Amino acid sequence: MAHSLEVLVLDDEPIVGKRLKPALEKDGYVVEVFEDGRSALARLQEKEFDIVVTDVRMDEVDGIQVLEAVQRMSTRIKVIIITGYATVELAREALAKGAFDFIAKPFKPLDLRAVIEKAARELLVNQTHG
Amino acid sequence: MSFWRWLFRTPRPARADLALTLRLTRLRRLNRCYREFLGFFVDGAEKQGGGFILDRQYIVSLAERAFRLGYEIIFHANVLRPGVALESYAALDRFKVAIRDLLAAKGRRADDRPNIEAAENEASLAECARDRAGSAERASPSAASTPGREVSPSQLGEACRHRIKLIENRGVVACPGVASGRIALVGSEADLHGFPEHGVLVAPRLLPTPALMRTLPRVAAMLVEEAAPADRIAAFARAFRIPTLLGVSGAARRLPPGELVTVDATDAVVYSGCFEELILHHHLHGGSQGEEPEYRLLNGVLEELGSPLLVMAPPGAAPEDRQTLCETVHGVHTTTLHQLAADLLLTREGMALPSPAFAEGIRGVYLSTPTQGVEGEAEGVSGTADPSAWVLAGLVPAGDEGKTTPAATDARGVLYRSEECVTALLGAGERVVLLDAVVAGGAEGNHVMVWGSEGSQGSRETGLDRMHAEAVRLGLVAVRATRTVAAWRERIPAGSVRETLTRLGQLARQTTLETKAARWAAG
Repeated sequence: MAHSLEVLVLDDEPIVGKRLKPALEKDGYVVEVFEDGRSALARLQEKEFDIVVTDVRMDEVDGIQVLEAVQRMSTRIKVIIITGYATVELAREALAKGAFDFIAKPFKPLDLRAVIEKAARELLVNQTHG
Repeated sequence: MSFWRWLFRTPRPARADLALTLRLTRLRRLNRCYREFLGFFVDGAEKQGGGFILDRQYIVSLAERAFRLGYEIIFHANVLRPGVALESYAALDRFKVAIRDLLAAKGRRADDRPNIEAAENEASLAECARDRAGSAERASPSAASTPGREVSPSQLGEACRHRIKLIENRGVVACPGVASGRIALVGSEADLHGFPEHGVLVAPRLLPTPALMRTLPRVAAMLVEEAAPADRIAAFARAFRIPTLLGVSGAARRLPPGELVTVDATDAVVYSGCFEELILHHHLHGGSQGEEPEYRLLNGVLEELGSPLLVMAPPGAAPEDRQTLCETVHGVHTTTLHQLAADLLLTREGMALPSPAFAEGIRGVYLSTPTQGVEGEAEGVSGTADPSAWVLAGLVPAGDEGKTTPAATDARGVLYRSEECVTALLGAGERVVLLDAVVAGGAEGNHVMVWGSEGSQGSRETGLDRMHAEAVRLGLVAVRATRTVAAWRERIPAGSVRETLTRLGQLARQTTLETKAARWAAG
């Protein structure tokens, strides 16, 4: 990997960021964690991340809104949705709106790391061909 | 052959059999619910290990599912045996209020640790855990002595990629964490004496004995080959905060004693040597894994719901004497099965069974399909052999053939046809021990022999798989039965089924006689 990929993790449950940050750092990713949608969106305006991992149900700004905002900023960024309220409808909506993948809670950090690795490979391919 | 096809193929059943058929359908539903109920505890135990990212919603749905299944089991039980468990509805309502309080953060025990103290000496465990906390600080001196030192993600990622991995992606997390130490193999309890300070305990299996409890404060990490998240050893690992992986096949073979390793239980990896960067990273970012509020809530809820491993109430206990949801549901299931089995068995195959014996509980059951023989061991005019006949042959004392019906008198064996029934009987728990045998596989299911005994005594006397017998006793076999049955069938060598079964019959008879003798001796 030429440079460390930057990952933004957004979930209002503190355990998610607390667990994902060290787990993803073991793979060499640089991780920033947010617990509210507004701060995350503000940070996304300042800096372009490679991958965004977001929960769906949150106060004020929900994950689908974050997905839409990210898509408006750049279609290059891979958005991975995580949720404790997984339904087929929600998964379909998220994927139709451009989400890279969809993971239901509870999950193991390894499961997410595999999805992020896939996203990283796709980013690399796009970079090479783009 | 399906159950229905079998029913219509056999001679026209008597009226009682028709009623029996309807009951079996409901029994199957009851048993399916109970299996799901046990599966739910296995699922909860797996999550308790701390290897998952979960939220409050998961815990709420876990509790909801447990209660939904509990009510469903009581409903089916009451349909099968009207009035058998009506009072249990009120008990479940009571537990539901307690859980609701807990989930609403009003419960006073939300922050407690798992209740393993219920079975162990509370003071000694707490003291050991304190010792362990102290030794854990001593176990990672480099991390403790370098406050503020940070490892960058790129450095850590690079180091993780290049470090030699002795074991990778094996086992399930019983307690997350990272620790380093020298491998110490524990093959028996004697190996625990003189266990090295900060050693990495590697064992084929571990029993939660007092000697192990005394050793745990000195253990840096644990790798156990044969264990599951629902086992008590997992609760011990969490209580002592020891990074632990269970079900790590081949660990004892792959890891030479004395070798320095680093166990990353969070990611199920064992690295060669002391991986300082990883230990430091874990010390700074992952030190409280498994102790987050979500895990504390999960532990509190599971403690309140109870566990199949900690069913203390005796089979005949009144609903108000059952302390948890699990005890109540287990009691309803057991009582229903015992009563139902007595009804069903008495009407089966025209065998005159002594009902008082069955009223006391299941004493002996074996499953067979007289219409199907065992391939390759044909005998007699029809070209097939009835495996049940071989078991019966073993049950009859030598020289008594033809004088008595063993199923009706001495051994109290009973023919039974449905795998679901046998699984249900296994689920009944306390009084059933599984003998290491599968008679044969028919299209409609496997043929299993089970034998009633008290506790795990029967398995010791007959030299059987004690660990599995223990699982049966605890009612967990309902979850594992299918796989177990398939594995056992393969283990009976072709051509020796008859001999094996006859021997089993003999063993079963012997066990019964010994149990009787023990009872007589006990007065």
